[in-house]
This record gives sequence, structure tokens and C-alpha cells, in this order.
Amino acid sequence: MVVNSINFWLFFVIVLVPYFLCFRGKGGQNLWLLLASYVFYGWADWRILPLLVAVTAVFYALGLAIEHNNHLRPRRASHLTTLGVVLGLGILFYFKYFGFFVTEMAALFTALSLPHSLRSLNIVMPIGISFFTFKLMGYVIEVHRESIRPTRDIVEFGTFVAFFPTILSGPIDRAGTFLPQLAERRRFGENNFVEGLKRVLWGMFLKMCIADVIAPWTDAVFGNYAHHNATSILVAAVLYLIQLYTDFCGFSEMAIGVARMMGLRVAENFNRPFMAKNVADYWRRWHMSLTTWITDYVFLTLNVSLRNWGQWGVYVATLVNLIVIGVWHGANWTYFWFGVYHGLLLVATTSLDKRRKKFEKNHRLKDNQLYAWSRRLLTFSFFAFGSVLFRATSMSDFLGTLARLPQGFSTLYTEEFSSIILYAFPAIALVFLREWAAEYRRDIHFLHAHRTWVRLVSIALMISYILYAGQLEGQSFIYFQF
Amino acid sequence: MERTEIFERLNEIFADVLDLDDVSLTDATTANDIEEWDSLSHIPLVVAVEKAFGVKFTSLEIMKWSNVGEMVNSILQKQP
Amino acid sequence: MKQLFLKAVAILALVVAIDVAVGSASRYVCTHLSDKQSQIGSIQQSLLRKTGDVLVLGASCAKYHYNPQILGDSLQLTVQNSGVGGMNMIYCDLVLQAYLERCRPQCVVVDIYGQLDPGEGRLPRVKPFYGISQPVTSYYDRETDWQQRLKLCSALYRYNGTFDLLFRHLLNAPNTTNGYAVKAGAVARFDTVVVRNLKIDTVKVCHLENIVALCRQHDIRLVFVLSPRRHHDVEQEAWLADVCQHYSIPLINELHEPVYYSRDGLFFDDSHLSGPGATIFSQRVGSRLKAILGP
Repeated sequence: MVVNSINFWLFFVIVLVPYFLCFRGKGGQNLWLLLASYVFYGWADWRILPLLVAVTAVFYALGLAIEHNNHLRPRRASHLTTLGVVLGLGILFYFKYFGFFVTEMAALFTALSLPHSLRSLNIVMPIGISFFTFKLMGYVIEVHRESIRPTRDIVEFGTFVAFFPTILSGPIDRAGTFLPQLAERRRFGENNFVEGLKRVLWGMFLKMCIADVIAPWTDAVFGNYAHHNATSILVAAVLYLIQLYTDFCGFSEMAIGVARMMGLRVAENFNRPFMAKNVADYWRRWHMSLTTWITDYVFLTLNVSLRNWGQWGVYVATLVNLIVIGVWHGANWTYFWFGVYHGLLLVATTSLDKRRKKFEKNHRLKDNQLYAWSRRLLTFSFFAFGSVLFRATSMSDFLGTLARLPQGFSTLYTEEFSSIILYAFPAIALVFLREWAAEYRRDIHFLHAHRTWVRLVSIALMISYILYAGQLEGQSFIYFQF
Repeated sequence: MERTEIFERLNEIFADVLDLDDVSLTDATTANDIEEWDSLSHIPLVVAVEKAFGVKFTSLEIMKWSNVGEMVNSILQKQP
Repeated sequence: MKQLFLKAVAILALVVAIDVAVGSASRYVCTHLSDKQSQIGSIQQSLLRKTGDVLVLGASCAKYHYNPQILGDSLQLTVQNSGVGGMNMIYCDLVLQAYLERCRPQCVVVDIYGQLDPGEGRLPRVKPFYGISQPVTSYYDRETDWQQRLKLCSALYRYNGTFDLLFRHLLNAPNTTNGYAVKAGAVARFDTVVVRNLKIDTVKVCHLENIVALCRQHDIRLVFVLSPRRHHDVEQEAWLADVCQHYSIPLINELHEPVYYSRDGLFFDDSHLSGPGATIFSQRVGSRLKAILGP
């Protein structure tokens, strides 16, 4: 059940009306939300519901036990935290990586001509598992670091884990910001409601007028790369990065908006990544709920332990950090090398940082727009290239795609391209305009304009544009597979 | 060493590591208040602080700090 | 709260106004298209305008294989090709119903391969003719769920994606009007491949039965044709042979004819004939049809 479907809105109305009208306290509201979340998740994949309930109970207990031992028996608290992390990673490993691991081992044994009886497994990966296991692990680590107090209310905790707008595909919420919101009764707020609806509308616009319009064409190019020339592949790389952004940012906006309508604020996921001036900056603006999670719990931990290695410690931690981000997406060598590629880029960016600053000072480039935009273009190109690797189904696919580049430029593959030009390009222009405006001047913003009539007309036009130009026979979200 | 002295030393260290002209830290200062203080520059800061005060923090201690004040508490605790 | 409600009403009114404006403009354009062979042009002509003694139905294979000129010359009848790429049996049924509102053909030829495969294909492209063409309207009213019918109330939804189709119609559509198009370019000859992949969509079978019933009712000769192609689905072929026997429909089976596979340049790709290939095909089918239809 995706947000841009009639079924979802029927479900949402059935949840929302009693949520605000029937419950006098936060307890009832949370219980209702928990039930709704389980129904929602069960709708997507009921077989995994018992697992979700079980891990919720276990991590709830772990949280309390860690806090209890934090000062009395610090070693035991550490052990319990490790147990939580191992459990979270274990579930993730079993469902996400075990099949891949067995297949690769079998291939290795065969290559070394060792006898083995390993068979490929076919483990169905439950939707959303990468998202809720990260929430759970983050929770126990935060409790151990004493940045949060564990909750005693299991319904509250269960709601945090299974919260239906975010369980399928994030944003990955932090207990520290989410749980306190559940500890109070939410009242219907006009501002929250309207702001939530606007974000849902913007999300639909991104998803249906850009991502889904581009998708058939990029699929046609990357799916049959052997038949395409360098021009088509380069254009597809650029469009695929835009598709990836609008697809996932669109989902996140809808999730954030739906939560907001219920009076809950969840983590932001994107902060205008295409306005980033270098690779590090881009990663701070892209899938932020994941990158901050991994930065806080993987990068910092590593970096602290390796702090006596000086610069090299930072480099190693950076590389590992990006590889973890890459591999988080799934069990495939493409994601591993995607991580390595970005890790190396990031190491290069960091090591050149001082020189760049000096250079900028010497040439007075700080406010030079041409310089700023060339940096943006360069950053975008690095990510567009990386997105080819990200999109490839295997390394041989990726190398095959690259091998098409020296074949030379020629005419662009234009089958069905007119719909991209007519529908997606104006929408992309609007997105860039909005992000550029937000980056420089915060006041021009058509959905949030000062004049009421500008807001109303913008909303009406946007709804009409989605209906007329959007891809309505919906496609799934890219990030549902992760 | 007094708290105020520690803050003075810290101001120097921060200005040096983060390449800033002037830093004035308080108990409540966090990484959000200083633009240059991010996840990448955090560790060089910690290393510089350890060196300057001749102390060694545990990983968990470092993770638990939520502002400069708590960092100063750790330094005071460790000082002979 | 009152303000919020008023604003919501204002937005709704604006959307409805845009809907009506865009809807009536699109409706006008879609019913007054010039005679050009674009996707939307072909659909419009098949649903609203064209007549002929022989009607060819099907998807891209119909469009690229059946030359009405050649067929017409050998049969001494007027032939209209109503094939549209990516369409299926439901579309064939709708087009036949639309034809019968205007004229009664003597013979209906269905290029049957793949027409019963599951999936929607490009059927949603007929949505602009909801409320214009009676068969399309009653199809959506009868056979789709309430959500679809609710969405169809909006003209913006009905004409979703048509701007692109109209654009292509104006820009680069060829001027032929009998529905036939030549696939320019060709590949070298290839060996055929046997596959077994029978997937039948029961809804589409109902529409097939409806075509059979309509032809019986109006005393129209119905003929099925299997076009040549690289992948021979032998299960589908056997199943179709059974169907033809059951309803006593003549089947012109060109799937295994060596003439198409023995020379270079008769195929455009794995499943479509090139211009020269289509000429041979039309000649052969023409003479077979002549035999079936009799004097």
C-alpha cells in the first residue's frame, strides 16, 4: 500500500479520525497507532509480523537492562549493547546477505575445486527490514551512551519501531527525537495538517511527475546497454541520478508529510543534495537519516578508536563508513564498489580540503558564482557516474555499460523520450528553481508564499499537473528493495 | 587547573584545529554552534585536547559528551 | 478551521475549473485529429471513423505486417488495418464493437499471437475516448473497479499522457490512412527458437469469445492469423489451434513457413517483419483469405 494510492488514503482516514477524536490520552493514541502500524505492515508482508513483534519486545527489554546496568555494572551494560547490535545485524545478515554469502562461498569452493554441498538459498527479504533493524540498534547504542533514557512504555516503543509511514522505507528515526513526541497527547493542529499535506503533495509531484516518467526510459537504456551509444548512456546516467533523488525524496516527503498530519515530526532525509559543492557536502544532504546514523555509530566509533593514527585513521574510517553505506543497500558487489568509489572520493576531498581553502582565499573565490556552480556540476557528475554503478545489477553489467562509452557519441535513443521532455523537464526545472531559491533566498516559495492566492493557485496547479502529466499507474519505489 | 583556564586553553585549541580566528566556548556550546566543527574535524579536536591536557579518554566517554561542558568535566576528572 | 475549509473548497473549485477547461480542449482535439498515423491517430480512426470490408485487428504485428493495398487488390475489397502497437484482445473487441456501430465488415482478421497474454499493455491509451466512444465507455463502466471509475470522472485523468501523444501526432506522424506502417530497416535471417510459455489471461479470453459471438451474430467471417516470428511458443500455438477448432474459425498459420526464414532482410527484429517481409506476408495471406472467403 503506497501513499500515492486511493487505498492508502482510505486507510489513513480510518486511522486519523479516531486518532484525534476518540482518545483522551496519549496511551490510547499510541495503542491505536501501533495497531494501525501492524495492520499496515501485515498488509505488506504478514509473515514477518511475528518477527517484528518479537524483536520489539527483546529490544525493549534490552533498553531497560542496559540502563539498569550502566552505572552498577558497566561491563554488563557494554555486553548487553553488543548483544543488541549483534542481534540486529544477525537478523539483517540472515535475511539480506546470507543467501549471497552462501552463493559466493560455493563459487569460491568450486573455483578452488574443493568439494562442497552448498546450495543457493532463496530467502525472501522482508520489506523494510534494513530500516527498522537500524532503528533498534540505534536505540540500544543511545541508551548505552546515555544520550537517551529508555522508555518504560512498551506500546510507545512498539509504535516507534513500527510507525507505519516510515517502516517500509524510512526515514530512519532516532528514539531521542521520536519517543518524547509519543509521551504527550497529540492534538489536531491546523498548521501541522496543512504543512503535512503540502509535503505529501510535493512528494507525489517528485515521484509521479519526475521519477516515474523517467524510469521507463532509463530502464530501457540500462536494461539493454549493449544496444546503446555513449550519448544515451551519459544522458541516462544524469537522468537516473535525478530519478533516484526524486523517487526516494518523494517517498520521504510523503512519509514525513503523513506523520506531520498526525502531529509527529520524523527525521528529514534530504537537504537539496544537488546544491552540494563537494562530495562530502553531498553526503551530508543525501539520505541523511541513514548517513547520520552510520556516521554516529560506525564512523565516530572507528574514528575514536583509530584517533592515534592521525590522518590515516580518518581515511580508514571514512572508507569503511562509505563501504557500510554502500553495502547497506544490499548483497551485491556493485554496492560494495559503490561504497569504495565514494569512500575514495571522500578521502580525496578531505585531504585536499586545506589546499582548496587556501586556493579560494588566494583567488577570492568565496562569492564567485561561476566557481560555485562549476563545483556543483563536478559533484553532480561524480554522483551521476556513481549512480550507474548503483543501478547496475552486477559488476559485469556495470563494466559492460562502461565498455559502451568508447564506442563513441551518436544520436540519442529517443523512443518514448518525448514524455520526459514534455512532462519531466518542466517539473525538474521547478525542482531546481525551488532548491536554488531555498539555497540563496529563503522567501520565494510558491507553496509557502505570503499571498494566500499564490498558495492556493500553486496547489491547484500542482494537483492538476500531477493528474494530467504524472505517471498515475504507479510503479514501486526504488528504496523498497533495500 | 580551573574551569576558566581550561576554557581558555580550549578556545585556543579549537581556533587552531578548526582554522578559525576567534572562538569563545561555553558550557552549552555544541557542534551545531560552530560550522567547521563536524564529524570529520571532531576527532582531530579530541586528539589535540588529549595532547594539550595530557589525558586519555575512553571511547565511551567521548561518545557520551553532548556539549563542551561535559568535555570539560571529563578533563577535570582525569587531571591529577 | 473555517478558513481551512474555505481554502480547501477554493482549491477544489480551481482544480475542477482546470479539469473542465483542459478536458474540453483535449476532447475537441482528440475528436478532430487530422488523418495521420500516430498512435492516438490510429486509435481515434479505428474507434470513431474508419470503415472497410475487411478489418484487420491486433497489435504491432498487425500494424506492420498487413498491407491493405496488397490485400485489397487480391480480394477486390476495401481493407482497413486497425493494429496498434502494444494492444491486446480487449482493444480488438472494442474496435470491432465500434466498427459495428458504423458499418458491417464482411471479414475480420485477428493477428492472434500474444493477444491473450496477461498484462494491461497500452490499453490505458484508449482512456481519452471514454465518454466519446460507446464501446470504450461501457467497457470501463462494466469491467473496471470503482476506483478506476472514480478517477475517470476527472478529465485530467482521462487525458493523462495524451499531450505527449498529440505532440507526436503533430510532429512526426506519417500521412498514410489505411493503418499500415512499414518497419524500415532489416536484420539478417535467423534460426527460430522453440519456447514453451503459455500464459492466458481469462479476461481476454472473454473478449475473444465476445468477438466470436459478434461475428456470428452479424454474419461476419472471422479468421485468425499467426504471424512469423523468431520465438515459437508451441504451447500457445497448440492452444490456439484448439480454440479455432472449437469455434470452427479458420487459422492461417504462417509461423513455420520457411519462406520468411530462408532469406536475409525479411525481418526488422525478432518479432516484426520488415517492408519486403510484409509484402510477401500480405500476398500470401491475401491468397489464403481469398480461398477462405470464396467467390
